[in-house]
Amino acid sequence: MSQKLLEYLPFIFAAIICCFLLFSTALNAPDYGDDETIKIGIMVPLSGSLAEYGMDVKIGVDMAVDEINSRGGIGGKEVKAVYKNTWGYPDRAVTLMEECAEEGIPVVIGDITSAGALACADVAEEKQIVLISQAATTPDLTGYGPYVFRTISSDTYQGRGMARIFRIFHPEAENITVLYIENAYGTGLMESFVCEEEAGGFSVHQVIPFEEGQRTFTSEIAAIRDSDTDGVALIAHTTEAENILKEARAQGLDIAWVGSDGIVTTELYSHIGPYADGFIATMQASEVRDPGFIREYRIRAKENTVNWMAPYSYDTMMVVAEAIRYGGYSPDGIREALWKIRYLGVCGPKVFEQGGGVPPAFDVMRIEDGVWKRVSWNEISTTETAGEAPAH
Amino acid sequence: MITGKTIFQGLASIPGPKNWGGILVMVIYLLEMFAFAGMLLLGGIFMDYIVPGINSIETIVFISLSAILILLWKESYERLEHTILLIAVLLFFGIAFSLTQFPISFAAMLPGMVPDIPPKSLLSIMALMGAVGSSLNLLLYSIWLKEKAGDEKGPAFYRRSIQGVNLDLILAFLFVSIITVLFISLGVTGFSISYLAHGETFSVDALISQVLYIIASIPYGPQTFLATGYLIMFGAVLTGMDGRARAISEILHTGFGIKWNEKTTFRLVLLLFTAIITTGIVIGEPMALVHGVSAIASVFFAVMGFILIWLNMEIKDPERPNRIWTAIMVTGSLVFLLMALFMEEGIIMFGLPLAERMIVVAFVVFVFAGTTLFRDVIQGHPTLIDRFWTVLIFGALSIYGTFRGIAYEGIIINFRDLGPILAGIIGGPVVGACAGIIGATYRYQIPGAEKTALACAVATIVAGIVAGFFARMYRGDITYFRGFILVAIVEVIHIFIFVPLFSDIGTFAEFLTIVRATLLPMIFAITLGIMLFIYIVRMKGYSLTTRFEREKEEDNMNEPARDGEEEQ
Repeated sequence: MSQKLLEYLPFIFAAIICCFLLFSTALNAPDYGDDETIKIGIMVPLSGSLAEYGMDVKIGVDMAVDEINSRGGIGGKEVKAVYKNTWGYPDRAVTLMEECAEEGIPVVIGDITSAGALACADVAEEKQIVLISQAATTPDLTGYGPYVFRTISSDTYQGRGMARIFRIFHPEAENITVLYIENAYGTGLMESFVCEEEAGGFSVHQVIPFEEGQRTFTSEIAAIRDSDTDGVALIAHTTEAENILKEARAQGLDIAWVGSDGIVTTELYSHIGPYADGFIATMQASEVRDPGFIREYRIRAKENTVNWMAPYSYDTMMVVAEAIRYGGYSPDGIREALWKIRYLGVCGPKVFEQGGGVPPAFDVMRIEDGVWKRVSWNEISTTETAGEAPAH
Repeated sequence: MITGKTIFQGLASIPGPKNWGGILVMVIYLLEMFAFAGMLLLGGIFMDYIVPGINSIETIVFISLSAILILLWKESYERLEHTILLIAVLLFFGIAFSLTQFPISFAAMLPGMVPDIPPKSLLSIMALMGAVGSSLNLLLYSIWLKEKAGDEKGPAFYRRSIQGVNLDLILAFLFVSIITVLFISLGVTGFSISYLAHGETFSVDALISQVLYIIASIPYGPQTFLATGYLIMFGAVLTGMDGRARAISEILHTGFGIKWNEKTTFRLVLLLFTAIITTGIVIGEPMALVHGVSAIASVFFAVMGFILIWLNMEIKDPERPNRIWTAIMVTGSLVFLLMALFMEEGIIMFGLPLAERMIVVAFVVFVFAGTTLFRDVIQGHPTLIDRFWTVLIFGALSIYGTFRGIAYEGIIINFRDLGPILAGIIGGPVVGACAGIIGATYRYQIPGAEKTALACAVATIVAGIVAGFFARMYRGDITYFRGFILVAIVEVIHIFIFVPLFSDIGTFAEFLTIVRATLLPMIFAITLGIMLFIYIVRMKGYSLTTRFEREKEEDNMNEPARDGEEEQ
C-alpha cells in the first residue's frame, strides 16, 4: 500500500493543488452587486479644446465595452460606460467625480489631463473609489494614494527621454529654451527635463511658460529668436503647439525642436505644413500591432492612423473589467485586483508598480512626409554610437 | 570515462576529513533549491502574462513543480532526455524566429567585451558567475554521461568517445551563448526605451514589460518570448533537480554507505528539494533568492576548482589533462577565491578584526589551561566551586566577545558564542548554558542594538547547551573539523532560526543583509577560537576525552556493584 502511495505521490501532489484551486474558486466567488448592469465612470472632455482627445477616448472605451459585452459581460452582467463630460476643466471634473461616488460607481477611468486627474484623485481618496487615468503623466500622481492608479508612465522618465533625444539627434544644440504649458502636466515635465541638463550635455538658458488656451505667441517666439537658443524643448498640448509653430514659421525661426507627447496628433502637420517636417517628439509606448484593433478603429474613427489615446483607453477599460471580474464590483475588490494584474494590452503590457503607475516604455516619433512615424531603436542606437555620445 | 566513476563518486576519495567534499557539494545543492524557487517564481511571472485573467503566481509555480515531479519520479533518464530535447527544439525555433526579426547590435556589444567592473557591481557580477559556475551545473554532466555510457569505461573507451563529448559540450555552450546574447540584447534595448537611469531600482515586471513592448514588433513576439522565458526556467529547474538529486544520491551511497536502493534515495532527495523550494516560494522574492544564493555559492565554486584539480591528479598519463589545463584551473580557482573573499566584504570588514581580537582569547585560554582548576575540570572531577569559576571565566569571555564586537546597522558582529561553546565542551551543557546566561544578560541590555537583542541572547545560551551535547556525542573527541562543524551548527541555528523568530526585522531583504554581514565572519572567528583552544589543550598534554573515559570507567565500576546488589 505504502509502496503504491509512493509511486503516485507526485500525482497526489498535483491532485491536491487542483482540489485547492477548485475550492478556492468556489469559496472566493466575487460579488458583482445587485444591479443588472456594471457601470464604469469615464471622465472625458467631449467638448472644448481637448475634444479631439476626448473623441478618441470614447472610441477606445466603446470598443472595449462592446468586446466585453459580446463575450457575455462580467459574470453575466452587461458593462456600461457612463461618460461624464469635463469640458477639460478640473473644477468640473471634481463635481462629476463626486456625482459618480453618489451614484455608487466604484471605479472611474480618467481624467486625461494631469490637472484633471489630480483634482479627481482628491475626490477618489476622500470618497474611497478607484480612479485610473489612462493619460495623466504628471509625476505628482505617483504614490498619490491607495485608490489612484494610471496606465501610463510618469513624466519623470519622459523628461529624461527628451534630453536624450536632444543629445542624439541635435548634438549641436547647446543652449536650450524650454517652452512649456503652465499646468500640472507642463510643469512636471519641464522640471524633469531641466534636471537632465548635465547628463544631456546642454544648458537650459531660458524657461518660458505660457497659459493653457493661449493663442498668440509673438513675444515668446521673439524672445527665443533674439537669444542664443539652438534648440527648443516644446512641452504643450496640440492646439497651443500649432499656434507656436505657426508663429515660429512666420518669424522664420530655424532651430532644433524636440516635442513632448502632447503634440503627437495627426492634425499637427495639416495645420503647419512642411515647416513641421523632421520634427521629433517623445511618445508614450503606443504602437498598436493588433490588426483587429486597427481595423475596428479605422471603421469607428474614419481615420487611418491610430491616435494613442484610443488604445490607452481601450487597454484601461480592459484592465478595469479584469479587475472587476476577479475582485468583484466594489472599490476595495477592484483596488486589490489591480495590484495583481498582468495584462498584455494592444499597446504594451500593463502591470502596476508601487505608486500606482506602470513601468516606463517610450517611442520616438518624427514627422516624415507629413506623417508621424516611429524612429526605430536601431537607428537611435546607431546614431547615438556614431555621435560618440556618452552612454545613457 | 576512464575510471567508470562520476565526479561525485570520486569525491569520497579526496584527502582530508571524511566526505568533506561530498558534504560541501550537498550543502550547496540544497541551498540552490532556494534559487530554483526564485527561478520558478520568475517562470510563473512569465506564464501569468500568457494565461488570461488574474492568476496566482504561486498556483502556477506549484503546478509547474508537480509537473516536474511527475516527469522525474520514475528516475527515467530517457524520459528526461526526451523532455529536454523537446524544450531545446522549442527554444531553438523561438530564438531562430526572433533572430529573423530582431536586429542584434554587435557594435553596442563590443564595448562590453572589455573586462570592466563598475563600482559597487562586483557583488552582482560574482552572483552572475556564481549562478553559472558555482551551481556546479557542469559537474552534473558527469552523471548524465555515466547514464549514457552505462558500464563502459577505460582508456580505450575514453579515447574513442572524448571527441564526441567535447563536441557535445561545445554545442551546449554555443547554444547557451546564443540564448544569453539574445536575452542581453533584449534587455539592453528594453533599458533604452524606458529611459531608466543607471543604478535605478526597477522590478522584474518593469524589465519584462519593456522587452515585451519591443518584441511586439514581431508577430506573436510577446507570446513567444513569454513562453520561451517560462520554458527556460522550467527546463533549468527540471534538469537542475534531476542532476542534483542523482548526484546527492550517489554521494550518499558512495560516501555514507546507505543501504536502501538508489531510486528510493533519489525520490527522497526530490521530496526534500520540493520542501525547500516550497519554503522559497513562501518567502517569495525571486531576484533576492537567486542573487543571494548565487553570491554565497560563488565561494564554494572556488573551492570546487581545487577539488577538481586534485581529482584529475588521480588519473594516470596519458589521459590525465596536461599542465596547461592544471595551470589554468589553479589560476582561475585562485583568482575566483580571492574575488570571492573580497566580495564577501563581511570577511574583510569583520572577520579579520574579529580574528585579531582572538589574540586576547588565546592568552586567556593559555593562562587558564595552566591552572589546576582547568586540570580538574577537564579530567572530570570538578567541585561546585570549580564549575562556578569555569562559568565565570567563560561567561566573561562571552561578554568580551560582545564588548569587542563590531556594531553594524543595529546588530553586533561578535564572537560572543565562543565562551559558552568552550564552557560546554569542557564542562557539559549546564556549565555551557550558565556561561551563556552571563553573556546573554550582557548582550540583552546593550542600548542601540535592540533589534536582535532577544534572538542573540537566546542563541548564546543555546550555544553552550548544543556544545555540551555535541562534546558528549563524540565523547570529547573534538577535532579541528568537528570544532568547525559545531560552530557552523551553532551559528546556523542562531542566524536562521533565532533571528527570524525573535528579532524585530521587517523584510526578507533586511534578513539577507544580516546573514551576509554576520554568518561567515562569525563562523570564521569562532572557529579560529575553537581551533586555538584545541591546539592549546593538546600542547598542554591534556585530552578532552579524559572526562568521558573517566565517566565510563566509573559506570563500569558501578555496574558490577549494582549487579552484585541485585543478586544479593
